[in-house]
Amino acid sequence: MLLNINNLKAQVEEKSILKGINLQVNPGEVHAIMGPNGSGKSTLSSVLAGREEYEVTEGQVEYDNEDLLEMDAEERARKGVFLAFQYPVEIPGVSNKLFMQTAVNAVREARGQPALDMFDFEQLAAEKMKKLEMSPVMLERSVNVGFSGGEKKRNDIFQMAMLEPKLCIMDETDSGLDIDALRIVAEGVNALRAPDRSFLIVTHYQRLLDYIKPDHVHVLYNGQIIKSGGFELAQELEEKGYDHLIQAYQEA
Amino acid sequence: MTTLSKPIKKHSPVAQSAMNFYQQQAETLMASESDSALVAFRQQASQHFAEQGFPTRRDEDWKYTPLNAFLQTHYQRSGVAQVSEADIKSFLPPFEVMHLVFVDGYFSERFSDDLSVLPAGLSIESVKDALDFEQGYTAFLSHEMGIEKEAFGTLNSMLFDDGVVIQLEPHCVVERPILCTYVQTQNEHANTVRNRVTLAHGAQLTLVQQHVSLNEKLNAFDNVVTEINVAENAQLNQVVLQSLNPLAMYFGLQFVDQAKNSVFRTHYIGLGASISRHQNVLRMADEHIESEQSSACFANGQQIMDTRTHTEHQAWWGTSRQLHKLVLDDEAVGVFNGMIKVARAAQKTDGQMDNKNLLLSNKAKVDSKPQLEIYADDVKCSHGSASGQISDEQIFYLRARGINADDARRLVTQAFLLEPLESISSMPMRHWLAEKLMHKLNA
Amino acid sequence: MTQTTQYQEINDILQKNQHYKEGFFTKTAVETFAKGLNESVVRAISAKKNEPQWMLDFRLKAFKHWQTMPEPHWAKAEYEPIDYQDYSYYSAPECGSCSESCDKALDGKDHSQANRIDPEVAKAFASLGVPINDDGEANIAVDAIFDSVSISTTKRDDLAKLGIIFCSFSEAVHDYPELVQQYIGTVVPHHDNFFAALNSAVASDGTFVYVPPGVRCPIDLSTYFRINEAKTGQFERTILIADKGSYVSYLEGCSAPVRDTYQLHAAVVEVIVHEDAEVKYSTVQNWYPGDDDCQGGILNFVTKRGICEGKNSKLSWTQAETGSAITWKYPSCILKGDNSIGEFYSVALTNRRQQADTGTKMIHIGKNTSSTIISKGLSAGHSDNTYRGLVKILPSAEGARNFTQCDSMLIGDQCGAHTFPYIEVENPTAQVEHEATTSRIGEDQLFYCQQRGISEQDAISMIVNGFCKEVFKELPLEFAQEAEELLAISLEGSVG
Repeated sequence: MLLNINNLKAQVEEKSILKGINLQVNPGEVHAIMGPNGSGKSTLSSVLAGREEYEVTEGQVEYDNEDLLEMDAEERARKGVFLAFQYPVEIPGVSNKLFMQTAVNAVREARGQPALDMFDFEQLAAEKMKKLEMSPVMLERSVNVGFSGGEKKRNDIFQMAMLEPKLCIMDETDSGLDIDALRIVAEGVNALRAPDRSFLIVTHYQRLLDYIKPDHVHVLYNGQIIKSGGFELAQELEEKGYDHLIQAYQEA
Repeated sequence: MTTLSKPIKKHSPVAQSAMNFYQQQAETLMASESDSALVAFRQQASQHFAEQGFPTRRDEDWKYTPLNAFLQTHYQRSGVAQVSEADIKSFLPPFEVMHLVFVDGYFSERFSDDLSVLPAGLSIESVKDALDFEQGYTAFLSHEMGIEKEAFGTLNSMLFDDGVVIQLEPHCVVERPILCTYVQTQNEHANTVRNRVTLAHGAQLTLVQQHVSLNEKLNAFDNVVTEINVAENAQLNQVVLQSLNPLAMYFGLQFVDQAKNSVFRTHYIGLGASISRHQNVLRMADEHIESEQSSACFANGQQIMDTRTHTEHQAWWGTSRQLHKLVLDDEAVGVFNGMIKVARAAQKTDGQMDNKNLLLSNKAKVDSKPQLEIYADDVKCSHGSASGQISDEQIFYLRARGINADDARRLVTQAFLLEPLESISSMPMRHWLAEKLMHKLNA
Repeated sequence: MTQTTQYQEINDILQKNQHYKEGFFTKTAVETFAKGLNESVVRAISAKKNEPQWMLDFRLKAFKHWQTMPEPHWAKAEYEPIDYQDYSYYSAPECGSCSESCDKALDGKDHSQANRIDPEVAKAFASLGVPINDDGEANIAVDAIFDSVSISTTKRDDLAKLGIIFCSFSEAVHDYPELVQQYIGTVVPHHDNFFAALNSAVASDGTFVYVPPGVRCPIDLSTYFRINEAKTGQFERTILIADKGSYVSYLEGCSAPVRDTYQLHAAVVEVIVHEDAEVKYSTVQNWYPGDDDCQGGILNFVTKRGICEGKNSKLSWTQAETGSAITWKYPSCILKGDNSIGEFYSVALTNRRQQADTGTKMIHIGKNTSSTIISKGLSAGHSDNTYRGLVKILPSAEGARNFTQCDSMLIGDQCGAHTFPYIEVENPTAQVEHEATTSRIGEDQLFYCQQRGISEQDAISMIVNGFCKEVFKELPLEFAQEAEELLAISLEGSVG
């Protein structure tokens, strides 16, 4: 098992948001976490990636047989946890190239691999970019500065390809994207699917899932997973909406 | 050789003679006063004034604002005003107001609206009455932040004789604006006015102050200090319209204290006076305070127009907005000086200051000094200053649409100058002010 | 609160205040004047340098004026008034002083200067990475100044073939008196300001550069300043003249040993740029900033000014300021020639209790003159960092342009960042634009980097360098690297 979340509870500024999450992810699986606004989806991504504003009050998260919650953010990243951001941050003056080379080499060092020099790095980056149909110009630009929404997301996918993570968390990465951008994200994810790489796709809408076809779908409501199922659950949500499910849950 | 002893300031004979004159005036005034606290207050100011005197261009804050013209004339306190009902009526705006009239600096019961029938919660009285009848008014005379540093502030403390005290009780919302009209009717007369405006928590008020001259021939001097207190959740909207004749002198100082969640907006419209200087000092001492300070000034001839703001953010989540515009024609001199100060305790401050200047003539001049002094790191502060002339491209665009060059220039200048008024919510007020600006622009 | 812990962490990182790596002290036989300043000291300095009468006259005139001036304190910096009698105004390695007296002999072609240099001094420069031997490998010419005197000037012969004069100021006084007389005090008069007057009176040494008409200097010229002796003032005078149609890039580096008393540095730089000529003047200033409370750091009061005398001339100042306890410095451009261009690119970093008050003056006189100011101020620790600048458009400056961008970044919550611009416009055809912003390293930016596996320290240094990029790209390559490293060291406090 790659990820084992057990009774995870978390709060931010003393407000309890996650109220006991249980979730198991095996290598190679694609899980979708769906839920209405305010259900705790983004909190879950943030807690897994190690954002410090969130305080875990109870529960365990085991990642690759290690205690994930003990690690700080960069350690998680180096061990293969990748967060695709809902709002990728701009870093003026820092080129994508420098940023990615620093990150790749930090991750490689943690894996005991030798650092890539400029030429090897550029070659690797060029390969990945070609696969993702990205313009090499992106490498020269400052991280996310002046990027369109679609470009930012594409940049995240590129970073994912470069860092070769084991667990990819997509935090509402589809929000605000038009259909073309959505397709880019989906195609990127599909291209990166592998037997030793799992995905946790956090989303409000099922439209991204139409392209990705997850193995498992979970519905998050009020800090808990209230229903799990296969891809058909996402389709059911599309037809009937969240209210119907929530009602059934509350009645039960 | 390099000791730091405070140099003794030397004044030019002209400045010295003006200083002596105003000190003499203060002596005469004090001799007629019985309130010992008030006399002590004036004496302190007078002493201060004796030490500092009138500023010169060697003083950092007066580098760009020469006072030579002002010092030539000795402005008197006493005299007999001559003004008619019709004159006063001509200054009224085309919307409903509560009208308070000050003739040569003195409150005029005759021309003002009846103060005995005010909306509930609102009290208005003249400073003269307050001094005569109210025990402890002088206790109100605080040593406002930095007033002693301002020569005209100290001069005001020495010589003020009237003004208005406006108080609004908690949660009182007064819809109809209060308009204070300060009219100059006598030549070489000093109109020294001290106002105090206090809004209790949750109160809301709109205050308009206009400075006007009875005719074009007078040379008179308005020296106004307004102390404003906006309590928790209260909101004050203020407009100061300075449309004195081109010979007049105007020095206005405002000290504003804001409490939690309060809102203060002020607009200054500068049109007249030979030398004018309008200055706001804002202290935003508690959380979630909002302020706006904007100005639109048009100077021509040899006018000197100086607008300045000092904004102190002292607590979390303060927002301040400023837009100051100056249009300068002929040989006019424009000055903008703004300071945003963010204390260490004022995290999450959002302060913006913009100054834009348009020069219409070869001999016009503008000096701009937008400043930031920041001690808190989690803040959003910016300032911008741009000076230049009308863009040829804009003019060309209008001409290409069939508008002749002169009209095009006028349109663009107008649009430039009127922008600061856009944040005034009352449409009649905005139109009234816009008309005043346009009237001068198109003259 | 998360905010507090965030600051705490950054502060902790900053506190791991590393060793100032240039902080060693060189032991060598020196001749140092007794402390104190009076007319006879001024005369003695001049005599020591065997100066002609006109130079002595210049010094005395300046000294007389200086005595009438008060020490300026308008800058946003607090310091105890300086006791000018408590400094020595001349210090030189003994061997260096000998080279001074046998000046002429040294100019002989087959004499290699390096042979005459005190080996300890040579070692000092070697460990600073400053090439002072004429071994032909370095593609840069260096004038190395140790306390009050110039130790060696490399590549002179190569440059001489092109007609370029590159020598110490003292040598220039002897060898090119008419050039020195023609230009000294023309851009920064002896009475200009307190520190310029002091410098004019007691100028120790400095660099003299003259590039003849039409010559493009093929290598970078550079001066490296080293203050070694305690309680010594360094008062170098640099004059740089680019004649018609010439080009030169000049670099300047500085450092000093760790001391527990303030050391005084009051330099004057005059740059004259003639028609169609271009000068790039870059400085990496890393004077000793003092201990944790900035006690004992360098007091850096510098007057740098250039004049774009001729049409189409261009002067570009680039500075990376990381050192000194107090910096008071406003490299300026007088844009006199029509179409001339002035530029100022600055990165100033303050940490601990450092105080920097720096900026520029752009004086537009000629038609269609244009200037650009890019200033990046970084404040950390308990420091104060102030941009102070003047843009003045005179009535004659038809069509002048200025663009100013001042960005401040605060790192930690105990520092200050200030912007005091003065804008004076007296010509309606001028276009002057000024923008200023204040920011900090966002928590979200740090998290983003960390989520990609980058450590917090690396992330901070990366973001900071990104913030300064617009300025660093103006520096020559090696200098840019040095500046980036300095920034990283000054900020991170961890070696390597």
